[in-house]
Amino acid sequence: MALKDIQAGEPGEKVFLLGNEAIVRGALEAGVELVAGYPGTPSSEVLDLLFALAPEFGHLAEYSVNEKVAVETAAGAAIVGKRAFAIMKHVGVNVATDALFALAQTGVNGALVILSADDPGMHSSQSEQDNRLYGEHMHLPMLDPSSPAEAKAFAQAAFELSHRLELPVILRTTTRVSHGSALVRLGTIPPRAAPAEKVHWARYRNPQRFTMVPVFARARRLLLTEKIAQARQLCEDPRYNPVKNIGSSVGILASGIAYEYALEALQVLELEANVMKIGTPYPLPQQTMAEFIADLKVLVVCEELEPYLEDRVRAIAKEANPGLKIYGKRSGHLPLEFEYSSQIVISGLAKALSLQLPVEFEKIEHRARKLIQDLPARTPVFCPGCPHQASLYALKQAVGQEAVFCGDIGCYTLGVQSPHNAVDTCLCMGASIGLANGIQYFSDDPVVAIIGDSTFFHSGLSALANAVYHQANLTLVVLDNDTTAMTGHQPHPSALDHRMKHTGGKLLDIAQVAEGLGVTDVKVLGALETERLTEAVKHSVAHRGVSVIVSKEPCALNWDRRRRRVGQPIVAYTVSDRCNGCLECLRDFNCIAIYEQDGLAQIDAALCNGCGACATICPEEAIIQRRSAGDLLQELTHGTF
Amino acid sequence: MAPSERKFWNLVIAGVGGQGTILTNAVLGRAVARSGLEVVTAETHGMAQRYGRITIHLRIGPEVHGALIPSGGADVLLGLEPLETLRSIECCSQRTLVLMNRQVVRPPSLALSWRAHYPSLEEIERRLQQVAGTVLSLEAHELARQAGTILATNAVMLGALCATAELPIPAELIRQALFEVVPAKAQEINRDAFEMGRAWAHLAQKSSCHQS
Repeated sequence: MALKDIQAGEPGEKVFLLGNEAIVRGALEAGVELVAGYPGTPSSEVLDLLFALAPEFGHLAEYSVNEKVAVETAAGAAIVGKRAFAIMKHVGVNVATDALFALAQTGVNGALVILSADDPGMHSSQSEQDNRLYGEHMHLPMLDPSSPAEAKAFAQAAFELSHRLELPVILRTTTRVSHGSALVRLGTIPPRAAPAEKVHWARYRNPQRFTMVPVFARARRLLLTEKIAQARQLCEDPRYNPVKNIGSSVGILASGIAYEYALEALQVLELEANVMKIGTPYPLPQQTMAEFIADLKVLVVCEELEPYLEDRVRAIAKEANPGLKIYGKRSGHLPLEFEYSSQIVISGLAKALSLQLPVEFEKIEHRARKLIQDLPARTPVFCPGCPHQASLYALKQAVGQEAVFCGDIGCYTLGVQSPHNAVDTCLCMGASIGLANGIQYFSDDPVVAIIGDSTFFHSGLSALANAVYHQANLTLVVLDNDTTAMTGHQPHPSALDHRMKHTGGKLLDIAQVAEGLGVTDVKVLGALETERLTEAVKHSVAHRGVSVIVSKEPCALNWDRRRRRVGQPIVAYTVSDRCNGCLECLRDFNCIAIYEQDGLAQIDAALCNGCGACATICPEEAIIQRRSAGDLLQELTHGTF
Repeated sequence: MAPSERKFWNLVIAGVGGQGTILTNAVLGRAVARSGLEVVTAETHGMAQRYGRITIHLRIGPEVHGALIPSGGADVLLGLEPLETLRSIECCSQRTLVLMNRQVVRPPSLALSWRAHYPSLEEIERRLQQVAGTVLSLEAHELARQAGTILATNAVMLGALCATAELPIPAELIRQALFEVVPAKAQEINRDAFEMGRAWAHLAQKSSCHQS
């Protein structure tokens, strides 16, 4: 429904949109011409929707292999005068920083907007980082919306700002803005003549601007300072940084979703205060901030993650209001880590201003904790039929407990949980191979790196080349499920899918790529053939040097969808009376469809997706495929029943 | 602004990845869009969808701010799975109506620890009653099955919600939004499922019976 709303919603209409969907509409209203990105929660919907909408609205879109390439691709388009949008999560920006620092100096001719979707509280990320600091660090203007409606407005404004300043602009959201829904008023999407107009490079050729050798870079560095001064003037605009002055001696300085929490806290505490919202963390509206704090006695700063505004307003207060009391993270009233909530801000504000809490939150929480402390946990698990689960099982069978398992980013990181215990490390995209390379210098135990197919192309290639080059002794297992599964099944170089009909694409073969990088021991196996896979891993680990095993099987969710689409029945497995209750299937394999009843294993037919991996591991061969209706009919007609 | 006008109506939806929590959310949001009120939500997307715990916070009011509902602040806790309903008890207080589907989805952690066990439904209800104002539980998945498919469980829950909760928007808007959001071929089943949920709730309230 949302896709239809974004697509066909009339100007002026108010529709219920996810923050990410609002950003898509904002980009369309700004006339985006090229979209490139790499999926990552909480940013993925933006790229997926803009990719899906490309044929209709005439912009170009690509799933790039990683965020650095996405930014460079978008920058290329923006250098030749187009409006380009690069989409990624907060840690994706880390991958792209090398390009971005230099791009701040070169600037662009059209417009370049980078979406950085931050994840306070690490709902789906390996690290918590405050990308507002990147704005200041890179000298790139940044917009930080506090709601889905503002996400649309700021997405649109970011393109205008970038075009006007000829600088890349970062649109920074957080999980609660990207993955929160609200009513958003739609604007007009400009009509566009597709296909995109070609340009003459001669018009844009300007090595002094786009070739960052030191002599040119120094000149551009000076120009960047001028541009930021100009940007700072634009950021004094109350559209970005509104101030509400009711003449109180108490002020609230807030940004992002914490601004919404602060407004609720004021209501709940029945407190009247002056409020300034920061929508441009960089450049900060220093003049407006100085005026805002000039007559205050107390300022409370509400912001998630780093005390970014707090430290900067403290510096401003040195001149503007030296006696001002500033409360926030540094004063211990609000937490430094994880995301905020209304409740956290209500409690922090009450503490800072010595107010009575209207609700005894701690008592409620204490009682709740006691009532749920003995509940069994429910953490995310592998889906029934997940090929990763079978691969990791085979891996453990082959090399046992002593081996080193360097994992990577993807669904397979779930293998860190019992009973798999097949992920010993996970740092960032592609780190499995690099870490394994370092450990193998000092380890006599087998060293195994585990990486997904999409992650392999994202940042595994250079690490693999490095391992081959330095004659590392390690085995790389590529878990190839033919998609970027965890972020919602996006295509990648070895997984072109039906959505790429309008773009086309050349398929890359992982085994050939590995051979091309100089790996001599490359094997390709089916992930569900657990016995053969186990033997293959044993063989590869014994091989001196770099070995690669590609364990191939489509993601179970995609396989289910494909079968449903063509009307092929999903035939579940069942446990026969040969089961002796050893429960190895439950303890060592732990598919969500297998459970215990009266000491014996049982399979939930509604959950089982018929992959059959459990049947290959049962020592009693007690797990058998249910007969489908068609089989039964055939047996009846052939009289074998 | 009078305090009564400031009030949010707060809903927490608790369930397991794959139970259609996002659809319920879309229906309610769409309904609010036609009501003249504002709505804001916080949703679970991404990795937790792999059979993990899903919670959605949804707030409706003339003016809304942050979506995360403070402890004890829920008007309704819509529980699609008993264990996850209880796990969300922090949002409950005397003002809260708990509307819980009795369909159990076993957490895989049960297989790994001999000590872990899934509490009985009676125990779950007993604990919820210690904190929440009203606890109603129903076999929504069974009613949905009778209506034609277990996939319509959320329509049963929405029907029951419309008949039991003091909603800030007309129930008819929710019913309409449901039919707009579900695929055309599933409309009839969802209409039946919605009515079955509504009928169950009327009956449950009349007999003031807290367990179905």
